[in-house]
Amino acid sequence: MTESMAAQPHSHHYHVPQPSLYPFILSGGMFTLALGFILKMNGFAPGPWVMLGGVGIILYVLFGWFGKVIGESQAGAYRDWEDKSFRYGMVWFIASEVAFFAAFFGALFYVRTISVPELGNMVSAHGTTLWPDFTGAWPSAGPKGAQFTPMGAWGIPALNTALLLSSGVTVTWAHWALLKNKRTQLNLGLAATVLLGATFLGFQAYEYYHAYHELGLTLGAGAYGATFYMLTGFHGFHVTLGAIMLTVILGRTLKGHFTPERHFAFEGVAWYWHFVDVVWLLLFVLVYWL
Amino acid sequence: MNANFTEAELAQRRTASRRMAWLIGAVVLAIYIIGFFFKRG
Amino acid sequence: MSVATTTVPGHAGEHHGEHHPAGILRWLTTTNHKDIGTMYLTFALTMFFVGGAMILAVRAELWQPGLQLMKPEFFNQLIGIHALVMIFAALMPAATGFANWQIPLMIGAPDMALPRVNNWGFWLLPPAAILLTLPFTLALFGIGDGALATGWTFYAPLSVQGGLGVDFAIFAVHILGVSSILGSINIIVTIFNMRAPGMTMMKLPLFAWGWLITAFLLIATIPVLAGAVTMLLTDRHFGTHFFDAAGGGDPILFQHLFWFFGHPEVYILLLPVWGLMPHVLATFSRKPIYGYKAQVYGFIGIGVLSVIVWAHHFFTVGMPVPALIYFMFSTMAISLPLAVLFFCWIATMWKGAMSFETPMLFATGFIVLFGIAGLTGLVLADVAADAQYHHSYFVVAHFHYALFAGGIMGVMTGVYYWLPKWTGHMYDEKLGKWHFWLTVVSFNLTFIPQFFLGLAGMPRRIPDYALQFTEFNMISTVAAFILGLSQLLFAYNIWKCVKGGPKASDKVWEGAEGLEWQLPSPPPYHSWETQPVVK
Repeated sequence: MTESMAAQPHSHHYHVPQPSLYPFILSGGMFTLALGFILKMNGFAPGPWVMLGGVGIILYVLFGWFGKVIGESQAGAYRDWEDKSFRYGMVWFIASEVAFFAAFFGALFYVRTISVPELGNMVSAHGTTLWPDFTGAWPSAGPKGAQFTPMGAWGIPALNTALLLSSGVTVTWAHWALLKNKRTQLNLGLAATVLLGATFLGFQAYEYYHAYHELGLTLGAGAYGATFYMLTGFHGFHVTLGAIMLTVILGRTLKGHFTPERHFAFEGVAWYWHFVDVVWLLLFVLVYWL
Repeated sequence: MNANFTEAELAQRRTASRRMAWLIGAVVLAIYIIGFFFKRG
Repeated sequence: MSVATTTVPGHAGEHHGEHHPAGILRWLTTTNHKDIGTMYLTFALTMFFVGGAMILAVRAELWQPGLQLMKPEFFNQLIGIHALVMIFAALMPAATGFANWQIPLMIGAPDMALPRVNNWGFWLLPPAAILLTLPFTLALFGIGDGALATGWTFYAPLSVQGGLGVDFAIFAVHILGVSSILGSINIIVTIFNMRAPGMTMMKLPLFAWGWLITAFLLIATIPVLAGAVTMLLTDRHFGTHFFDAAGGGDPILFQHLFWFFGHPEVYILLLPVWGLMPHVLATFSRKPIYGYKAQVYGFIGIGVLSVIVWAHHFFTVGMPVPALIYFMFSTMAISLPLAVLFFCWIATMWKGAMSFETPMLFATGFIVLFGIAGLTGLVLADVAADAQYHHSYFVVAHFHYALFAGGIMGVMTGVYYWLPKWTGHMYDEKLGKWHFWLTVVSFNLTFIPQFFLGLAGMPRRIPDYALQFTEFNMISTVAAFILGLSQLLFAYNIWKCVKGGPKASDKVWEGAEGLEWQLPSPPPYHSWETQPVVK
């Protein structure tokens, strides 16, 4: 692939953007947010306010920086060469996200197949079983864990699977429309995708409420609770981000942005959306079902 | 330094580096062989 | 092999001038790969001295048995932060600085592919460094009990129970991780999308190849570290039981997650140096690089192997025997591609018209000393032998041969090699040679005694020790101070070279090959705006 790419000289200069203060401010915002979070977790009163300041700075930069990039894009600063950079960049960003989820799936695998069964058979130095009442069967909150009911797969989670899979279809439908320049279908497809994503999040919130108040399934419910909430929680966070990005894209299509030839932002967000979709399928099978 | 060498100097350096390589190789091999004659107590 | 020829002259009519704000704003806002490279390298050098000062305090404490200078808690904080600073704030930024300066010049690219992201990646580093070291200062005001005191590895359950410093270190690692991933994405995209026309992947300079594999490893493993410290955070503050057996978790899970990142991290630190070495060796041997393809495949092989060997860092923790055997043999397998690299380095010099300017001194010193790292690594990879050496000073000496002689001396090789290109001036050759010999001699005097201490059973990370270890520790401490002070020569030489000195030619070195040497020294602010064509 790369061989042919480098074969021809480019007809124009690569767009190297003007100096910008946004990256520096964004770093400061992230520092402030982290510092505030540390203070809050350790019981220092100003913590939440420092966090709020950090979030404010980050939001300011997100609006400013993305606004600037959209402006440059609309002004025609980006052509095929730059477009390709953005595509490669997005692909490798998603790759890093895959690795992040892999850490938590790895933890799930470890507790299910190694630590919990091992604790069930653990024999003390005197030859007695350490926890005679603990069988080491999954789902488990460990030998000293709280009582809880695990989350079933065929209620809300199955419904959510259907919702996310449908949203993958609608975003592709919108993409086809964009390629054929059918703007109404594009807007409808995007709106439907955002709506399906939001519904998913609503159900997820209800599921958490139900788990906390009726099932005794909390973040502190041992290995099951920890892996359940961290995996579904980070996934939900990514769905939220994806839905926000899709909303921005919808706003842009309503303003008439993107052409059949040039619409990297749309595709980047669509790839991201498919990525959270695939993660969900793994979650559904490995966390809820099996 | 950043020397620009003449052809004769380059040839001399090539010879010298080859000799040095053989010398280092011989020393390493010697150490390796001598090692066989050391017995642990 | 990777020798490139151009048809377009490198710098004809390309002086568009420098469009950037003046003063500090230039550096805060820059999107220029050379400016950003300079910032990375300056930051790395600064933090190199910060991390060095920490460990000199440790060596002073270890001058003799008993506790003289500090409490054990503070000792623990110093060793952990020393490691994190040297790895994340000195060595990695130095390598990224090289990448920023050199990759666009070497592949004929007008800049890095994502210039604003590039700036963001750098400016995340100072906040992270502040987060790492701030707890030291806070403790002075009675807030918290100092910095991370678990060693750089954050092992649970110690890190679950630790104080405020752990939280600071967790977020420092998060921010450093974001920075590394941004840098990696940028380097991958630059290499894939910005190469000069005609420069196929198999004509790519080896330095860029080394960094490409590094970037892949970072993208694959840094997020796993982020996940691990996130689990640590929730175990500490939000009641999860990832690393707590009472809830079905396991402290050893943390070790698996950490070293899944930690072992590739070693190659992340070394691959850029391995990429740089053949260029230097070829230049000063006045010969083409030997075994270009073999080295590329060697990099790829090591990259793949590096992610499947992690558990050799904790052989003694209690794993099933088949797992031990697997991790032992897979670890030893890394010596095969690594031996290929060593062979190629030596073969590049074979029958060469060699001259020993400072970069070449460092490069040859690197081969010998890094070889010792590799051989002692093989000893540690042996499960049975490791039961004796684990967590002893033998390990400390081994990984300092890998990361100081392999990593830092590699960075020094690169600095001396490219400094004339960057500044347009020659550095002081005499000072450079003094720096090299002082460094090599004092480095060995610092760490050879530590091999013996480890073999004799001295454990690492303990501020006190048994009487019979005294002499070797004294030698090590004296040499460490000489090693530390010699680095001031390095800083002074760089400073002097930046300020002035004999003019460097475009090519700088008689035997140098590659696109970067076709540009003027120093290169214009924007270079290769019109890409060269490689045949």
